[in-house]
Order: sequence, then C-alpha cells, then structure tokens
Amino acid sequence: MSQTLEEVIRVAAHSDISSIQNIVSRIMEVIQSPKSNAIDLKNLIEIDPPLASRVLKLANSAYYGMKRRMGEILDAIVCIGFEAVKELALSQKVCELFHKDVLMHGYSRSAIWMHSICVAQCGKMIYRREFRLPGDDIYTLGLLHDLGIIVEDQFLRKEFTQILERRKKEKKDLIETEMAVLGYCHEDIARRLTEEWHFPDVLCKTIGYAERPRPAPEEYSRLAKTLYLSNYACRKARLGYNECHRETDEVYYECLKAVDIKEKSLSLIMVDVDKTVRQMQRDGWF
Amino acid sequence: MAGSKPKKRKTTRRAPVKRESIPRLKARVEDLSIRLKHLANDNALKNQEQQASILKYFDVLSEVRRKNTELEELKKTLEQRVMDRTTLLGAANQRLENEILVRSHTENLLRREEEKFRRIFDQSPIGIELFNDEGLMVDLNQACLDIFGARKEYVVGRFRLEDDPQLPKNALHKLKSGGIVKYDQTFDFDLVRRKGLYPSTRNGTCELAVTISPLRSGNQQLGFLVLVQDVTEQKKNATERERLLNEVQQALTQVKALSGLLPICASCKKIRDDKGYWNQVEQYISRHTSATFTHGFCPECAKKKLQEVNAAP
Repeated sequence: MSQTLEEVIRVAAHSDISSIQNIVSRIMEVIQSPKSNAIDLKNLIEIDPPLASRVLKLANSAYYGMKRRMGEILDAIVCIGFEAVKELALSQKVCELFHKDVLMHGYSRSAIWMHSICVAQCGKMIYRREFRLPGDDIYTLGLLHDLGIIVEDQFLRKEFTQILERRKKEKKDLIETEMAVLGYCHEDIARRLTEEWHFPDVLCKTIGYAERPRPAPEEYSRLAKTLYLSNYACRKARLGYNECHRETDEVYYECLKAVDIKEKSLSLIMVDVDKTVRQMQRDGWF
Repeated sequence: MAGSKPKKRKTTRRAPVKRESIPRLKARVEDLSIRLKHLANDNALKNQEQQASILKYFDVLSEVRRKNTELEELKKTLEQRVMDRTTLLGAANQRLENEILVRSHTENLLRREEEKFRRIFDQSPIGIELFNDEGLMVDLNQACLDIFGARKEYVVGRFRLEDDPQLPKNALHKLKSGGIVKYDQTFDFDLVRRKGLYPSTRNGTCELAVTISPLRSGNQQLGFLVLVQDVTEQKKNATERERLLNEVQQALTQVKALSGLLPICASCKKIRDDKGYWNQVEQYISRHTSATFTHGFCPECAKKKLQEVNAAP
C-alpha cells in the first residue's frame, strides 16, 4: 500500500532534498526584501562554496557576454547585475535536486531540470515583456513546479515506475495516472513540501496549479495562469521533459484571455526562450 | 555615320518586385509591434533594475567607505593599545619570570631537603615506621625491615599499629591523646608467624626498644612515627656487666687493704691495732691483708747471727 501524502512529506522534509531549503528560503527573502543589498546576497552565496563556484563559473560564461573576468561574487553582482546573480544563485541551488540522472520510460532528472529552467525563463519573459514586472516569483515557481516528481522518484520508486509505465501504455496524463495510483499528484506534493519548508505564501499557494490553473485563488490567479501557459508552451515546444500530455487547448486559451496575452506574443517569447536555452546548454547549465 | 540605324539600347530586365499580400504584411506589422512592446517593457525594467543596482552599489560603496573610516580610526588607536598592552605584558612577563625563578629555587631547596630526609630515613640504623592517622603503615626503612626480617610489600598498606600483639594496652589511647609511648619488648617472631601477620625470615626472639609518637601539623593529626631499635646485644651486654659488677663487688668485700697512719713501736716494731693492743708486725699484717709471711734473714742479720753462733762456747 503506498504511503499517504503526509507520510511522504514527512520523509522528504527530513531527507537530503531538504538541504536546499535553507539557502533557497534565504535567497527568496533577499528577492522579496526591498532593503536587501549586494552584501546580503554575496554573504548568502558565499556560505555555500560549491554554489559560489558554480555561480562564478556561469557568470563568466558566454551567456552573460562579459569581457571582464569575475573572480568574486561582488564582482559578478556589479558586472552582470543584482537580479542576474539572484536568479543564477536560485537556479544553481535548485539544480542540486536534479543531479541524479536515471533514464526511465522517457523520464530523467536532467530533462526535468531543463524543462524547469525553460518554464522559469518563459514565465519571467512573459512577466517582463507583457506586464512590465520583474517576474521573480514566476521564475522561482518555474524552477520548483516539478519538485513533486523528484520526490516521487526518490521516495515512491515502485509506485513512480508503475505510474510511468501505465502512463506510457494508456497514453494518459501524468496527473491522472498519479491520482489513480497514489491518490494524489506531484503538484500536491510540491505544494505540501513548500508549506513544510515555510516558503512564502505566494509560492506555496501557486505551485500546485502548473497543470490545473483554474482553482487558483484570485490574488494569485495571474501567477498561476502564467505558470500554466509557460508549462504548456514549453511542453508543446518539447523543451526538456515532456510527459505524455493531453492537449487542453480550452484551458490554454482561457488562460491567454485571462492574462490578456496574445498567442503570437507567447510564440515570439518562446523563440527567445529556445535561443536562451540553447545558449545555456552550450554554457554548461545542463 | 549619317543614315545608319540608331543602335537599340540594351536594357537589363529587373526582377519583378515581390508584392507581399496584405495579410502577411499585417502579420509582420503585428509581430513588429509585439516585439517593440516587448523591447520597450524589457528595457524599461532593465533601466529600473540598473538604477536600483547602481543605488545598491552606491549603498555598498557608502557602507565600505564608512567601514574604512572606522578601520582607520581603529588603526590609529590600535597602535597605542598594542604598545600599552605590550608594556603591560612585558611587566607581567618579568613578574612571571621572577616568580618562576623563586619557585625553581624553592623547589630545588625542597628537593634537597627531601633528599636529605629521605637519606636519613633510608640509611638510619634505627628502624623507622610511618603510619597514617588511621594507624595503617605507609612506609618503613631498611633498618626496620632488617629488624623484623620482613619485605615491604607484605607490610606497607597492610599492617596496622593495633596488629602488634605486644603493643601495651593503653598505648593507642595515649597516642590519640597526643602522648608518646615508650616501651621495651621481647619480640617473638614465632608469635608473628603463628598469627599470620607477615612472613618473616627471623626466628626466636629479640629485644626491641620502641618509641611511638604522634605526627602532627598544627592541630591536624598526620599519623604516627615509630622508632624501633634492636637492643638484644645491649641487653646481653648489660646483663653481663651486671654480673661482673656483682662479682667485683663481692671480691671487693673480700679485699683487705691497709691505709692511713699505723702506730708502731720504735724499738720492737710492734703495731698498735684499733683496739689498743700491740701486735707483732707479722700478726698485724696477716690480720689486715691477705698477705702471709715466710721468715728468713737479711744479709746483715745473717752476718750478725752467724758471728753470734760462732762466738757461742
């Protein structure tokens, strides 16, 4: 008999997955606080030396196109910008969850990671270009929205294998198959785990709506719908992990209308997302 | 030349101008306007972020400048503080060195004294035993081990004062009251063996002179000091001496000696005794000394007597 959602969360909250919690929480505090400064961010990154070295490595990559070589986090903040370093730190820390790479029925952690980055980038671009907003929250949501799949892979191995096999065989939605096998889905896991980690409300309340944006609370409706649109667009463009997914165009167009984005806008954004991701691949992000 | 046909000018055919359809143009215009909007929004945000970054950077710079100023102030006072501390430390070091010298000297003295007393203890011809305040033996010297024919490991930490079977009855009480106990004893090794007190290489008995005194430091009782002397020889000598003395005394009573003024007749050489009687010399001397006489003639009297005999008819 598979474990209940609470049992899984209890195990995950005390596992190595939770090692990212501290740094990610603090980066999010820095992101959300208007009083945070470069020194706060630098100190936060430097307490995790592997993270600091990855951030520096990528800050010096062709992706940011800096001529000058940066040897310190503070240099990176000054040269490539506070916002860029924040994003880099967050993505590299979350990336630690996706290190193990086992290919199984089309699923691999690195593919999920690539997909998460694409969703994060797409969501951010939508927010910036369509709403003229920074898009920090949507970026974080994009990175973490498939966290539940990692938890299933690590702690519900038998059931997860069963889900993937059944999904492939029956050509059903991942969520539908999860509900049939476990009684809950990866979005429920992500929502409960972020609550357990005491992440900001905006994150906990929106992370569970990447596939099902409709029941999202009104105050987070735009965020949830943007997340859905990014997720949908990246899957359609086959960027990263692409579980067999029934096209729910109805919801897609509903979301487009709700956030007042033209389909053309989104496709132009996806062109840039694709370019960005290819550059990231060349620079060793994946 | 006149009359010739004008040359036809060669014209190159231009490629026909592609006319895009209006819907396609509209689509391109739409694309461009979307791109422009995206660019405008992105740039606006980038400007804001850049300004915010610059402000944050200036905040950091101000903070750094403030910290540098504080650091400079601190540096100025630091040198003075370091000098003051160095002086204090130097004085403290000197005091410490002096203390170490004194302590070292004292320790050397103590060590020498300890060695001295240890030598006295170890090499003393008198047996010395040390007991703690509970009456348990804690040490004894070689002389004591020789007296009792014992080994250290069988008595130290095992033998108690009260285990001595020949300890006088009220000795312990007297010792605990601070008194000194002195006694002589005929120590019986066979008794020790029978009681299983400790193994001994000696047999028979010996005469011991024992002195037990309490060891104190101020009001605190530290233990007991026992001095043991084997006086067997001395006792033997003393007994012998007494015997000889008696003999001499007896002999003395028999010794007759002449002394003082003796009244003697100038004519017949008789001597008057204490009772007033005139005695012949031989009689008087025989009575008052152990001398006896054997009569003979001296040469003069022999010559005289011979003349008398020759002259007799």
